[in-house]
Amino acid sequence: MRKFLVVLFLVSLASGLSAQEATIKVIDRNIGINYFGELGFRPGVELDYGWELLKVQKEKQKRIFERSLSMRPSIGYYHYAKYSNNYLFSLKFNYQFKFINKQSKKHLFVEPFVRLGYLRYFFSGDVFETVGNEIEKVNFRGTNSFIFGGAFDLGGYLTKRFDWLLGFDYFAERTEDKLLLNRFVAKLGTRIKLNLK
Amino acid sequence: MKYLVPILFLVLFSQGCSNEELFIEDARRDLWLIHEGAKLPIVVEGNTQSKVFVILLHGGPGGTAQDYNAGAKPFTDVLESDYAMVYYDQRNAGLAVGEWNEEKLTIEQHVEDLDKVIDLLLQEYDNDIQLFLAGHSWGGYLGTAFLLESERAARVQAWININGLVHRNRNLFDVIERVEQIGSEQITEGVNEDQWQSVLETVNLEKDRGIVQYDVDSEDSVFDLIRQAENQIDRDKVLDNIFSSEFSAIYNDNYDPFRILQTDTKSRDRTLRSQMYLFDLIIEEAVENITLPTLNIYGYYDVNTPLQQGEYLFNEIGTLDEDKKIVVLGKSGHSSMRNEPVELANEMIEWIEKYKR
Repeated sequence: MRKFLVVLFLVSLASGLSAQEATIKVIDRNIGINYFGELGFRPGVELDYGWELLKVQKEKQKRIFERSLSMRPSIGYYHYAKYSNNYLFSLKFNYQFKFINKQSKKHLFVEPFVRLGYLRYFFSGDVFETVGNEIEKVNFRGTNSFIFGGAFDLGGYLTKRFDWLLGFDYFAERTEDKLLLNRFVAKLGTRIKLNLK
Repeated sequence: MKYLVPILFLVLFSQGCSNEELFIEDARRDLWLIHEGAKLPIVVEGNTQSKVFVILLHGGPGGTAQDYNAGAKPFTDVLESDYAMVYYDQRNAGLAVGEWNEEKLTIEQHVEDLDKVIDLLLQEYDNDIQLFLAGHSWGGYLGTAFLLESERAARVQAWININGLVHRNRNLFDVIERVEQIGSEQITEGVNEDQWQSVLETVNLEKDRGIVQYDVDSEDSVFDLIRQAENQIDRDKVLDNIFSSEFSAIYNDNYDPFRILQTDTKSRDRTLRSQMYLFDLIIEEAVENITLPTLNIYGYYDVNTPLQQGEYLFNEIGTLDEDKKIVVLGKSGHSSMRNEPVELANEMIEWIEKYKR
């Protein structure tokens, strides 16, 4: 069911990039670095790489309206105090609506996305495991879960190479024993363009 | 070579510190115990220097120890200044993680888990620490079940039963009786007479069912009665609510309301509840084996696990009369740690001081 929804989403996006507009050569690549705060305050960082797959542009008198679909592999980390250190490996599909001022070349964008991934917890503190009648200290223990969700990012021109980014992220988490619907993330960061053409 | 001496000094110094830091006045240590598919978070917080460790068993089944440690600081802070408090989340409860295995979701497994937590404490701290066991609500049932075996009971100095469930079936009759008593008193005092009259009508309906042995299907109506009575007690404004803010619990501690809510909902299934009705028979047979000093603390307005449960435990255990006691907190409901946090903590301290070596 989940796979079906993802495929449906991608097909809808592709068909949405209408033939009436100019499809342009895909060139943009960028790296994103964000503060990644679960519930806003559990601190973390996210590093992602944007790989544009499709892009169409529509020119108007004063601005250019651009739509694009990107794939963004992402690595995230956040610290849940007194509980766990969490590593998130995920893949996002971002659909960007970008408004470019023709004169100043400055832009703003809004970018809904879906995210699928794997979340690994490493427990904070000392971890022990019973082995027969003994209790042994063990390292690097934690738990695994799969996550799925999405939300949207907002961003805009900062310098020729940098964009600012403010994002909100929601994902559900399938743990070993339950489905948690509780991950809200606030993001603040930058995107570094790798190709300035 | 010039760096070798300072490095060695630092290594030796840090080793020395870590040992000493085990026993300090305001310790906080996070531990995890992985046992039989469950991953249990354990927090040791407070005065470890006292070498008196109080294990507080949370309610539920499916609650969390963080309700006390992070959510009821006016209560736990008083205890933590004198003793090391031990909070752990039981399997498939609160912040615990691990597999969901119905076969392991048993009272016996919960008892074994507690035993392993004690093993870990004795291993990580000195063998000369003194352990006291306290349990709230379902934690009262778990604690009582743990103490039925004398070998296990010998590991702790004393038992503190806080608004504890002791006998599942009997408790439902105690609830009906207690609601009737409180309702009649409130009517006599002229407090919300019409509403209490309506509660007493529900009491009579429940009595008319003529049930002598409840089960997980038939008990629901009694829980409806409990909710009705608790809501009425809230409206009567006889109870104070003194607790730390949830915001603070989330920001300053590891309280995770979303995770706890999900776990709580799932843990309220029939598995453990149905087992309790069978386990009642074991309680009836073996409760007299408990000879440990036992303090029962109940809220006067507790209609969830009323003070009759404490009276049952008080009367049935084999403890000498001078080593058992019932305390009724006059302005408390089921959550005495929120209604009268300091009074509850002081009663516990008095009991621990009496029985610590």
